[in-house]
Amino acid sequence: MKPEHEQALAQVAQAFCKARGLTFVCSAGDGAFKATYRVHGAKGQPLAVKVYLQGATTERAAREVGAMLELSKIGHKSLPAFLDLASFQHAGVTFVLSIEEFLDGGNLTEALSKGHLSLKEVVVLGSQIAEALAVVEQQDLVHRDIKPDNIMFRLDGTAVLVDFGLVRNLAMQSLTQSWLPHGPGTPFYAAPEQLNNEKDLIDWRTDQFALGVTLALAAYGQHPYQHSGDGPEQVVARVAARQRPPADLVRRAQADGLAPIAKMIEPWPVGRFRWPKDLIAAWQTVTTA
Amino acid sequence: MTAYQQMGHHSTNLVFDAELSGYDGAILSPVNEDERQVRDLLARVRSELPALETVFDPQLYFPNSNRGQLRTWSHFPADVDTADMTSSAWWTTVVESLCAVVRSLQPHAVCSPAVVPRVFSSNEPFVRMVEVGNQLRAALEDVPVLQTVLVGMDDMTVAHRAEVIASIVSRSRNDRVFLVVCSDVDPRRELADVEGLKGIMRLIKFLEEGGQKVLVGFCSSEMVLWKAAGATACATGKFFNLRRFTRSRFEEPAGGGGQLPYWFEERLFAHLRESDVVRVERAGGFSDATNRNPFTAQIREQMTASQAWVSTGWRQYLWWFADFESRANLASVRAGLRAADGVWREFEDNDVLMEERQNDGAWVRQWRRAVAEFKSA
Repeated sequence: MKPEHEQALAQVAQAFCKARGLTFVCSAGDGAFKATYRVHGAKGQPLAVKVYLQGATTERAAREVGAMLELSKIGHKSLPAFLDLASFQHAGVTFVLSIEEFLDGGNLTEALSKGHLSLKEVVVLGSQIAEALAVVEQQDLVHRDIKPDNIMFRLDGTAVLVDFGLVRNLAMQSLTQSWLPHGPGTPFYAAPEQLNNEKDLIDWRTDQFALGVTLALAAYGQHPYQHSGDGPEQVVARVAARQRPPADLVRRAQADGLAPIAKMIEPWPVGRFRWPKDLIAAWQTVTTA
Repeated sequence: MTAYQQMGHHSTNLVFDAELSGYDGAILSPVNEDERQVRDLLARVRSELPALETVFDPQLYFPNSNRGQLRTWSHFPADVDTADMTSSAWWTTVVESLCAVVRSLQPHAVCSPAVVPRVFSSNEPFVRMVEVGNQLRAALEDVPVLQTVLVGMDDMTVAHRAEVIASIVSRSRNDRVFLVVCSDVDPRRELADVEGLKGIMRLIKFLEEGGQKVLVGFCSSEMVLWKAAGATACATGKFFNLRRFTRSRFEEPAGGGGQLPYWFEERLFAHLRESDVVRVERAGGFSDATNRNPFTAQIREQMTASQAWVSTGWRQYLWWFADFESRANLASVRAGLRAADGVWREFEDNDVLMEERQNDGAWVRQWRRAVAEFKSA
């Protein structure tokens, strides 16, 4: 985001806090189309205020807000609590803002910068995000950008799936142009169907693949399709070409009790877990084994 | 292991034939009978064969208002000849009408409606089939829905087509799939395109492994391949000793026409004409399955008495189908095809030639290849 936008949105957030009786604390990060601020509620509880940029990226903001509204109807411990959606006028411009719970435990990228997760932690992470995906799938939504940056933690360690800016509603027509070589998302974590922009094959199993990659990375520090000497571009090319992941990593995951990962990263959606309940059951079996 | 009888013209008696009790279900068709006749049939099934599963197939495959009794059915759209079948609203109406018919008839299960697409190479028809299947399931909570999937034999020769279609179909909320293979093969000819057969076998395998039970409809003797691939069930009807699921199958011959009687021989995986039966008997006899088949003896008697045995031929084929279906697996199919290939080679070496030029067992070799390559993939 451009510095002038950052500054403008911070002013909007501050004005919004003042109007709502909230205490503005600090910036908590920004993305391509929004900025997030840490604020305190009337009782001192930490909250996140998101201010969405006006203009070209309104569509993404609308997607995220729409998805959060849908998901908030159900609610889940591994999805952020969505508290309010507001329209706020500042300097003659109307901005869209949301108030969500503030997740104090950092994100998975930060956790992994300190080292791999233990196998037990990976199992818990896999189970929790699988449950979040069940709620997302129930609403016909596909997150499309699951990666360590978008998995945050509560202070009690519960993993929470965040950032629905690329969410797609399967009940609505796709907005991605068919001629594009890739669909939206972060290529390093994306499923083959996403990398190849095969829109007919995108569903919750696309998220399942990205979660599988994320979990493999958390457990072993490498992408499951990575062969020795591969850089990120080669890995992405292997996934897009639907090559098989190296057998040794799959064997290792199975030996370590992380067998669900091997199925989650199958090149074709039909090879993965069919429904979220199947994935959750697989992780529960691992947990109890 | 489950075999289904596919109801067709004058086939009610076959469902109740005590010698054909190897069938676990009947697929009801609205083409040859009207709603009242099907309701009567269902009542009789409930009374006499309570264990038989009844599945209603709405038969929208080739929309044409001039097909048998179809236009008399309330689920059959009045505007079928002019409708925009890409319209979701049109399908919603079809689903609603079908729900009313199903609630009224109360079969055990229903196949989702689907139209045979003009081309199979696009994913759109499959996405639509699944959408309609899900719509029907949502509307019919208390009657299980079989997700109808129509695949083109030629389309299935394309690399990875099975993976793509299976990925779309496995999105269906219905855990049972009614798979129909569409081809343009001539009547009485076996499906024999190795790549297409392998593609369909792989599709069955992917769906079954993913948790969807596949019932392959409109089968003939190629059922052995679908069973080798792991299909839960296969369905056939009395005419499928001769005819396949093609557009022409649904266009009745204008002049009617007499049918020739056929004998099915597992030793060759072939349908034999009367003179061939004699030829094969002289050249080594018949399989155990044929000798166990209660209709074999009847045909022999009818042949001896120079009586017509067309309908006994249907029964002999139907008995074999259910019998083989119940014992077929990858290993038994491989062994059976290998043995049949050997018999055909022996016949060729000894100039044992069948009456029909094309009845030379060439498809058995293709089927062997399909199974071998399917297994090694």
